Amino acid sequence: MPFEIAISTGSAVPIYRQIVDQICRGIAAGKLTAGEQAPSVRALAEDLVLNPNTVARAYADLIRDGVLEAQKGKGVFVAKRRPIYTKAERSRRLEASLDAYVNEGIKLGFTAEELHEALERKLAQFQTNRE
Amino acid sequence: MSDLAIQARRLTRYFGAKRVVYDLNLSVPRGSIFGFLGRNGSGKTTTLRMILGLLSPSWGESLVLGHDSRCLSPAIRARIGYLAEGHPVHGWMRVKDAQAYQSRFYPRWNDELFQSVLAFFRVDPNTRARNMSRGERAGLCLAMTLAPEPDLLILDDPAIGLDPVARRSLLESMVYATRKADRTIIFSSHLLADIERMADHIAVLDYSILRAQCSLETFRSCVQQFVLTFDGSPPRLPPMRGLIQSISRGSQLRLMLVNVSQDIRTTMQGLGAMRIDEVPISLEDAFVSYLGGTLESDRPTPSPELALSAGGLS
Amino acid sequence: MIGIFTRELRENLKWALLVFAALLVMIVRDLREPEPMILFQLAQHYTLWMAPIAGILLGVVQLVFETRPDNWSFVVHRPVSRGRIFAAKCAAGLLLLYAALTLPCLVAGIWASRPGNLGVPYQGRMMLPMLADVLNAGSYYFAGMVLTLRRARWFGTRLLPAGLALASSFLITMFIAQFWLSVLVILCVQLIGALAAWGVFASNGASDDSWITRLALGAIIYPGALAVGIGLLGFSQAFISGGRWQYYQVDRHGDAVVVTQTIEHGERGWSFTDPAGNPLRQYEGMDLDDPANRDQFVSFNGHLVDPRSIPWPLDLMYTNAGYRFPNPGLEALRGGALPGVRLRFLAIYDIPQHLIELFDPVSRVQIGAIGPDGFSPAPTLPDRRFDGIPLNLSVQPRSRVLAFESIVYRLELDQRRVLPVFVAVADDPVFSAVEVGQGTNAKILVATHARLHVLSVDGQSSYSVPWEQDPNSCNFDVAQLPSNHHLLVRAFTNPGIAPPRTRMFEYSADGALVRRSDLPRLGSLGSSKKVESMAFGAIFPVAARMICPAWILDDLFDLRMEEFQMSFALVLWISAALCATATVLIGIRCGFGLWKTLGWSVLNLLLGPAGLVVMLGVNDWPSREKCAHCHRMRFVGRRDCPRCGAALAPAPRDGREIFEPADAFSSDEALQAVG
Repeated sequence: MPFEIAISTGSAVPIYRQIVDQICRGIAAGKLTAGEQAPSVRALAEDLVLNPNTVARAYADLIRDGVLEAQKGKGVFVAKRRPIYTKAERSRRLEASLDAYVNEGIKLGFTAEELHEALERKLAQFQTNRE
Repeated sequence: MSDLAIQARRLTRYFGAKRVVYDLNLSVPRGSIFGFLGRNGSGKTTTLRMILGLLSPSWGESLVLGHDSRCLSPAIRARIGYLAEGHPVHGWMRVKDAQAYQSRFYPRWNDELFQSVLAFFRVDPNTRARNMSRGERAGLCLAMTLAPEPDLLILDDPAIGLDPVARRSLLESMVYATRKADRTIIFSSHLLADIERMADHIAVLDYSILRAQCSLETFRSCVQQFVLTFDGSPPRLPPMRGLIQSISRGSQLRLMLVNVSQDIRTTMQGLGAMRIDEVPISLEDAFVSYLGGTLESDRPTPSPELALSAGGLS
Repeated sequence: MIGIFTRELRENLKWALLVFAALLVMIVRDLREPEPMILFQLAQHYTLWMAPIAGILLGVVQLVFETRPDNWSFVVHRPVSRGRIFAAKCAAGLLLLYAALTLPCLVAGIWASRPGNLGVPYQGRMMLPMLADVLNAGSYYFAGMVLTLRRARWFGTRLLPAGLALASSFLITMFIAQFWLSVLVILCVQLIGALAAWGVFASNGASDDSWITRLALGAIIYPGALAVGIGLLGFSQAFISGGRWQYYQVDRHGDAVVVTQTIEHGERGWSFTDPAGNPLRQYEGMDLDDPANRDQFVSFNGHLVDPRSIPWPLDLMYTNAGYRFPNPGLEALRGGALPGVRLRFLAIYDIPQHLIELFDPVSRVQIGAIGPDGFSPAPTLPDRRFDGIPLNLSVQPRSRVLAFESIVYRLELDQRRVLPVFVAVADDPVFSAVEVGQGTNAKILVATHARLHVLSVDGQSSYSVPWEQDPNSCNFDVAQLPSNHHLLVRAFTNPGIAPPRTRMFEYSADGALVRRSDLPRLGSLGSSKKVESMAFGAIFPVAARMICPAWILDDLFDLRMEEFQMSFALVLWISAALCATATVLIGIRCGFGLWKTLGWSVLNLLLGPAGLVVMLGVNDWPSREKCAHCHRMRFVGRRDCPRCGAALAPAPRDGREIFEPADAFSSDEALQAVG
């Protein structure tokens, strides 16, 4: 499949978390479409050379969050986008990542205009990747 | 009881006056991949030998697959695969000799698995074991250990001396081995990348004493690093239980703590720092500090990549 | 198990082939120039030392791989019991060993059995010495195994297990005359060796296994330890006596001279005194290494001895009986004609046939046989045969005399005949005969129980005298004085008879007893013999002293225990008591417990210092540390302190511990969903 997951050891981020994040971003970037079949736990584990339990845990998290869904007997598929978070929860999550983004930018010494510019650029990039 | 592949209680072993394993209690759950960590000479090989009944403990006991280690019957030994340190094999054997020799002993011999492992390691069938490279020999030994389809696989430092390609083959074989449900794998290693990839649970031996036995996640979450920024030079630290490393650089104090309780947090807050930040750390740094960290030093900072990964982006 | 067997065969075949090739080459080389008794010589030349070397070699190479603990684990961690693995190993090793050693011997035997090859009739019993030595190789095999894998604390003790195998070699060559008894001894030794080797293999060099293997291990170490003690004693003997050595010589006039040899700066020096101790001027500064001085003293070439008066086991040296000697098969007659006369054929005394057989040395075909009446060419046989068994076969074959109990012949084999020179009377049989002297002055001496008969070479009686010393308690050697052709007879008391005495008698040509000299026991070289005997008592086990009479040891080790019995016994028992005490102390230090300490004390009382070595070799020496509770020393490796009973404290905690109960690992339902 065109979408590749690359994990790295020695990171402060646990491996299962890396998988979750990459799949989420892949879906958001359009590389994984709704309804597409994800590789089985074992296939991904053998591909990435990981403990299958780690992959299973990532998948379990994703299923719980509604990103993936398991169809009995058939496998795991990318779920259609369903709002499972409350509005408040979604806003809270957005605020959290905005915090991170803004704090980092300020720490690095960028001005508000520069931060705006960067945000616009990133969103434009996303759009083009989708098409 | 039957959930545990290995159960050791108060295993102790002396060599002369030297205490090599001290009061070790180990529980390895069935079906898990268990990483056995510790510095060189901390007693890992001795522990594994005692568990296999190859060395008698000074005292203490251990159960393997529910049976006493000291009197393992041939039927039980058939279910345990053991790859000793250094990948021992008879030097004159080629692949087919090893296959013919080993398969004679075991009633269930999976030849397909044997060949798959050899393929992972790209073992040349015509070379004798003494002329093989380290990686090839490791592959041969691992194939001989896996092919009998053991329920319990014990690997003592299997990656020793292997180049990165062979190490990758080793990990691939281990993942392949998990195809059988309920197969338990214990392996000892120094390579934290491998531990991070493979282990569900770990046990950490600190010079004959078992300091930790938990899941990998728990270990990561229990070891935490804090950066305290002060106005001026940092004060002297009061004794803190669970402090494994403290580095002071300029006006900053970097503390590494285990099992941070509310009391510790209170103590930290009481130091009068301007800010206290929790900094995520890699498994390697956590482990190194856990087992060999310095209490006071002017060591240079850890690698810069860690700062970048603070946001969780990779 | 078959897997192990075939693997061991394949791995060790090359060593067996090496042994086979080496032995075959040696044997074939010797068979080119064969002597009639070649098969006995092959045993002595080769299998006596080749078999031990091969045995140890094979034992070592089979366990060399297992000396590394990880390799041992690889061999042992299999669904087969360790006993069966060991049995398969030994089966392969012994098969290779015995095949490699036996086949060359069989080659020699088959070659010898073909007519015309050996020159003497082949008898199956000629193979026995080689076969016994080959079988003994197994003893060395197990010794090699034990010494490879046993964890020896001090480097020197690693070689001790070879001692038992060496003891068995020693026994079967020196002391045991019957083949079946040799085989029995060898099999017992191999059983002990096998048990010890099994114990060492099963526990990878440790000694924490069953009592029977530990007993075998102790048994295999003990002879080596004892031998080391005796070796050290021998070494010290040189120091105590300072390299000095005293012995008697007799000069050309029949006077006894005491020669004291010393070694100074690597050079030998001699001093000469008379038996009373007065220095003899005429020999001052003489160098006995100088060939010109060879004829200064008389050499006693003839021996007259009745082997039945010599106690076992030293009588074996005179009778040459047993499976290691051709007797009672064949004996080569090496003498048989005047000196300088070459015999153009081989002469063999065929004991079962009671005939002398002559063979052509080139074609090795029998020419004929000599009986009392003369020569009969092959294939006929003489009508009359010799009467009885020849006496003193250990010395007779080199002389021109063939002695039987009833009659003595002089051999003239170049004339193909024998000449009777003496006929014994019915109630006074002959026990020995010998020829002394040169040329026209040569005499034949015939010893009967009552008298000594001196005859000229053609059988005319010169004179006969009664024995001055009882032949039942003495043995004699004889010589002829070159100056006046008087006869000198030296009488030595037999071993086992005290007090030991040496006397010399000089007879003139007409049989008159001219002189009688007493050769007193040579002085103890500054009581060094006493010291040596006492030193021996220090290392000698009491148990052996109860079994073995002192005179045998005196003879073997050149001591004077009979003479200094009190001192020897004193040192012996003091040493035993010290060993027992040391055992008790060691037992307390090592925490043996009451019965074990008592048992070992009694054992070491009987076994001596070598037993201490065994005890230390078979048992562990546990270390000690301070008990956290009562602050007294306690044994590491034991759970409870022997003083206060406190169990070993659990490992201390320092706050870093992260422990999670094992059942925290549980399959997530979601995991099962994703399968």
